[in-house]
Amino acid sequence: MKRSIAAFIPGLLLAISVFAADVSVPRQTIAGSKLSLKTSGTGDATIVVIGPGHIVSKRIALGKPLELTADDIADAGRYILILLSSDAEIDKSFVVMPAKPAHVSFVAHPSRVPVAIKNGISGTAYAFDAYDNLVSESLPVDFKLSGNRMPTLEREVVSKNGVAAVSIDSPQREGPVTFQAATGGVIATRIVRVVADEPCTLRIHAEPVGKGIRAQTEPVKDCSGNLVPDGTLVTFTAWDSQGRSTVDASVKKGIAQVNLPAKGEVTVSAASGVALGNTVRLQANP
Amino acid sequence: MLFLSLVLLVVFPLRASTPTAGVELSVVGAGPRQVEPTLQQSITRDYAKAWQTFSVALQSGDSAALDQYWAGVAHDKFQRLVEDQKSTSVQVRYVDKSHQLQAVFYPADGAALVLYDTAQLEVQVFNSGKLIHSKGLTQRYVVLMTPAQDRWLVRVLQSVPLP
Repeated sequence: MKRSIAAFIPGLLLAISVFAADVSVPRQTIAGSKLSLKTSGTGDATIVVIGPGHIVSKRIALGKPLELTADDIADAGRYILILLSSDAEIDKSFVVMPAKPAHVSFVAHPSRVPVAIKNGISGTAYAFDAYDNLVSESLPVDFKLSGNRMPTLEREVVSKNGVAAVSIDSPQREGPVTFQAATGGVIATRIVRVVADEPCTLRIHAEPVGKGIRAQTEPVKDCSGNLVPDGTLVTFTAWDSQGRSTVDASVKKGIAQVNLPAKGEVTVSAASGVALGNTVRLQANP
Repeated sequence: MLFLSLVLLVVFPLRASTPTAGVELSVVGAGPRQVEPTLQQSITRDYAKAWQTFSVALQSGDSAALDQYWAGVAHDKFQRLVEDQKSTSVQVRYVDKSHQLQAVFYPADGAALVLYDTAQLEVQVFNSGKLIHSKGLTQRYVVLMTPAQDRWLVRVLQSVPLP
């Protein structure tokens, strides 16, 4: 009798395992993939899937595959799957990893930068998949800085913690440059305006006109030879027998000029930023 | 005595528990920019508040609470989670017990902060009001925060496998 019961037990266990409600889940899958999960048991059950940003709840027929759509598992992260049937409550978990990069969030800083600044342009790239999951695994990111008046600069940086960052010296020549970050066939582009730096040297000349003098700079350039931007202020100062006159003038197309009242012998000088101009002595009209 | 107690309660209402409780931040190894002490305070405060508003949104079913401390991708995903609760009769509760934040990247322009959070959580799931799942777990998140006018917002909160 004992022997016959012992022989019966494995068959009973097998029958229980076949008819018990259960669902198989993968340990890990990729965001946006479709899942067909094997279920066992008989009758109906309710399945609840809790994702990082989505809840799925539906009635299923046990024994038939449970289909999860790409939308159901679009968010990267940990998922909990709960199966509720008349004879069991089962919970399982699985992990959804980000898919391949589909777009790059690229922050270029600053949008305007003076020429020839060491590490003056920085770029930070975050890669996201088609479901807006941050691609946290390491990826090679190619940064490229190019413009009409400069050789193209390229750097490859391997992303870490979902982010890749680079700092590049600003070019010697002013003008717009294109700054790109590319990974996995996805490119993001930003435009950075490279502008002339502060005036490097200042040279002026002056001549008598009417009841005073006219002073004018030569083209005002930065230390890399770029004309300084329009609007850069140049301060002209004139001394004559009546005292001192000071006038600020804006650079227009590289040159600043001003008319100053003066009598007799006049001394004129100019300054802009840290640059001091030459001194000019002349005789104003009587 | 009872009257005095009532008067004291009205005049000096009970202070809410400190929002930074349970959030610790380490900035060791973060860079390239140094994470200033004032920023460290802001991050622990705002990250804790972000979790509070997430909890409020899930409990009340009103995703508007997320607007205060969430932005971008994280906001949109949690908004959908809150809305899914209504359509499925399934409620989720994240009882966050502690957060160990590790700052890993703070760029020179200060425009973002990337962190890891090792969180001790209890996840509870209710189906039509009945508790069907409750489990404590250690969860690791990669977090991206960006500055707004007077606070830091969580822009990405994504669970990643434990190292």
